Amino acid sequence: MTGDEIERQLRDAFAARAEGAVDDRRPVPQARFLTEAPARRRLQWLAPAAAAAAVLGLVGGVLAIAGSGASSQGPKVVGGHSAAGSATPATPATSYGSPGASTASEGAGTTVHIKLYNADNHTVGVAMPVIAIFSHKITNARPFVQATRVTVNGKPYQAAWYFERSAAGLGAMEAHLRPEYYWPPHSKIHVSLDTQGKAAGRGLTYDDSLTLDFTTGARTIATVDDSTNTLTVRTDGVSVATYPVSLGSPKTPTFGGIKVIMGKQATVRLKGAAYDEVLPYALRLTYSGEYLVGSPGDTAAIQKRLDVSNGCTDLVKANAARIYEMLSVGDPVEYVGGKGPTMSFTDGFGDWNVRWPKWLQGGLLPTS
Amino acid sequence: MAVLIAVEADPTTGPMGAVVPVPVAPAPVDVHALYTAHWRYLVRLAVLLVDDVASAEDVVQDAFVALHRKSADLRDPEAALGYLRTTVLNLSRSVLRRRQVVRKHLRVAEPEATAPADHDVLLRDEHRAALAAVRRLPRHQREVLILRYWSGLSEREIAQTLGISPGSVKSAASRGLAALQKALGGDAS
Repeated sequence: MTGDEIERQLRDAFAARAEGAVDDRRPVPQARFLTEAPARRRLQWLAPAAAAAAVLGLVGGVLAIAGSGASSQGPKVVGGHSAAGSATPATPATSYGSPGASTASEGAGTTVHIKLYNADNHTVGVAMPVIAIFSHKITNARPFVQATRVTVNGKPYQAAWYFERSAAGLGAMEAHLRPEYYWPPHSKIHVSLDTQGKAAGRGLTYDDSLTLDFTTGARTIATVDDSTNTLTVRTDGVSVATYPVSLGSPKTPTFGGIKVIMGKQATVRLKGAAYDEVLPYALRLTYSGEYLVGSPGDTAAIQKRLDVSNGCTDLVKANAARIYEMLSVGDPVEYVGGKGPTMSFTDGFGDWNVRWPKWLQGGLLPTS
Repeated sequence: MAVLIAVEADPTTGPMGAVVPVPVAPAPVDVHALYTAHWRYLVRLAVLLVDDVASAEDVVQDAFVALHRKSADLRDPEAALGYLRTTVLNLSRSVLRRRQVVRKHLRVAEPEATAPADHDVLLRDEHRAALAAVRRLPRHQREVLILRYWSGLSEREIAQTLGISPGSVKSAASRGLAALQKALGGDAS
């Protein structure tokens, strides 16, 4: 490759990554400095009056909660059950005088900022959870739950939030949204969170409202059977491939349960106490480092169906290349027949290992 | 005559009623206007640096909080944008350092120098390969390449943002490109 080609490729890659991450249509969220900075400043300058300020903060917090009840001043509520995909997110980011902001800057305790892990306008697998990331630990989930509307192809759809700590350092807390079974395939999903100004607990107020639009692809499910050392891929009910695999050795067994493909990497460098290698066609399954991956060094073990890996699901390179093309982010990989413990919820997208009745209870916070 | 005198007495108008500039200190920068104008640009820059959107947004919010604290001293919007860019760079470095610490506590095999699985999964293969190769570069080279091939800054502006000399920018860029050529050249079919 010539220098010019490298430069062009870099420009394109940077642009694609940057614009893919923050869409042009995404509204500018409310600025945090509007609510946070003045309060901090006041405390620094008037240190002797810190106690008084703390009391003010408490009163302000109560005011903020009371204010959130009077929704007539808040951003427009996305209309009931028929919330259409065209609903515009209400983010009065450009006005200094929005009621929420002025209350908060008078010392209304803490504002909570919500971000979504998911990006808009992408096609993902049917097991992809919607993940909300909170800037602070919230203590009351109900206003958040009530402010959520989910539609599939324009019709209301039942999905529920589950609250967990944020394991990968993404924020102070996470909530995951999923339906009882996988999302319907080949569908348009719209989520709106009309949370701005609503309470997140005592002295906590959300500073933003969000929407998310994404599409599901085919219902593609991979199943890994540890008892037969095979990986099978079914797409919309049709079995399309079966390959031999090598799983974790008895010392480092592969986790069981339903995992979700979190990311795709053409190559991955895996490093541990006894190994350091770069492997091709990596599909990430857990934060702790389990992948579906090509493992040229283990071809013999894979063909003999022996379990020799450090937890990864190893395939011969040619097969790894094929499933790399077949599977997408958000596709489920169901592990059966193994001896390893079920993956933990927070070690990736462990959502589907939580039974629905338990999910409806809400995890760390009650949701009903 | 009386009319002319009265007009001259008014400091903002000249004899013919034309407005005469009165020297006043320029107003402090409007942080909110800067926020509205540059939020998207800065979050995108931070995404390239830290590689996940959630952290990138945090970095940008923190940068504006920092700017807001100093806004009374800043008069020039261009200088303020420069300050924001440098702050985003510095805060992004902290995020990466913190992430390295978190990673040490994770179990089993962990790929080195990759971010949490994130949206770049949805990119084309050749873009993904280029980004992965950039991720493996030393910090300085990575930052220079991002500023040079994405932010649209001149060599001098890049030098100012990073607090290094234009010569260092040039050499970091050429070393970075050479490393990428080596890393990506083999992959080209």
